[in-house]
Amino acid sequence: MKRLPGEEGIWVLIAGDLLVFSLFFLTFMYYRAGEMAVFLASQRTLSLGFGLANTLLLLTSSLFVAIATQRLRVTGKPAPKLYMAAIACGLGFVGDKAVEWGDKFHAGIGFTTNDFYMLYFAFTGIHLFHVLLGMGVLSFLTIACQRPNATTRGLVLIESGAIFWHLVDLLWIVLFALFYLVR
Amino acid sequence: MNMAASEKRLILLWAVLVAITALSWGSAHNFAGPRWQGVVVILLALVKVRFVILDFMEVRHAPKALRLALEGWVVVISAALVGMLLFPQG
Repeated sequence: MKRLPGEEGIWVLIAGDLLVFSLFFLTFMYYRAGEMAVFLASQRTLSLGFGLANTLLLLTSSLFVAIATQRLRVTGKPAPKLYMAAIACGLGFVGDKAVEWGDKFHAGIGFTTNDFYMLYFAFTGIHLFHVLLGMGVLSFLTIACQRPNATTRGLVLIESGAIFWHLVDLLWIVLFALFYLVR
Repeated sequence: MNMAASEKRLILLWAVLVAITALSWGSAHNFAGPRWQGVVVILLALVKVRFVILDFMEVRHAPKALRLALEGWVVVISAALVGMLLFPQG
């Protein structure tokens, strides 16, 4: 049986965000092609471990959110603790980023160092903004999933919030591959 | 499908996504890796993205138009990124 998850509006927002980030991904590849040596040398100064940890945190948070949302729809039981666990993963992501960026600033690396780092701070910064926004959305879900209408009229709103959080995960998967992993 | 089975399926998917992540991450440790390393990393990332769309966002059971649009985007962006990686001179 076919059924649209979430509100129609959330898919418009997802489509818009995917197009904007597609442009970011292509911009990165374009600059990379023009300054291959600079990009490869700068990439070596990134912390692979921090990037990996953040990828695992977001994947895990996505699992929590997917299970909580599915459980609510199928059994009618709210699982606010799963949304809270996802928020904790989000906090971990922000903390990881703070330490990673702090290290870079401490080493004298910043937005104006070169084109690689300009794109790195710009795109992962815009993504970080999405993470913070998403954590706000998840906070709302912890409350919304316990309301009496959560399995009826409130459900599409909860699904929409969950879809936005999965978008945050999805965008990071590609950013991690391009900035950290592609040699 | 009962509740427990569908949740198990999500956990299994998560384990697969973690395994793919570990594989890509491992491939990045050799800085003088072969040229196709980047192609593999990009394709694996977009495979992960496809499953996030289909199973976490639940697009697998959404109306066909939405699924086609999103899967189409995955194919187009994969092709564009791999193309720009392999042919940097345009």
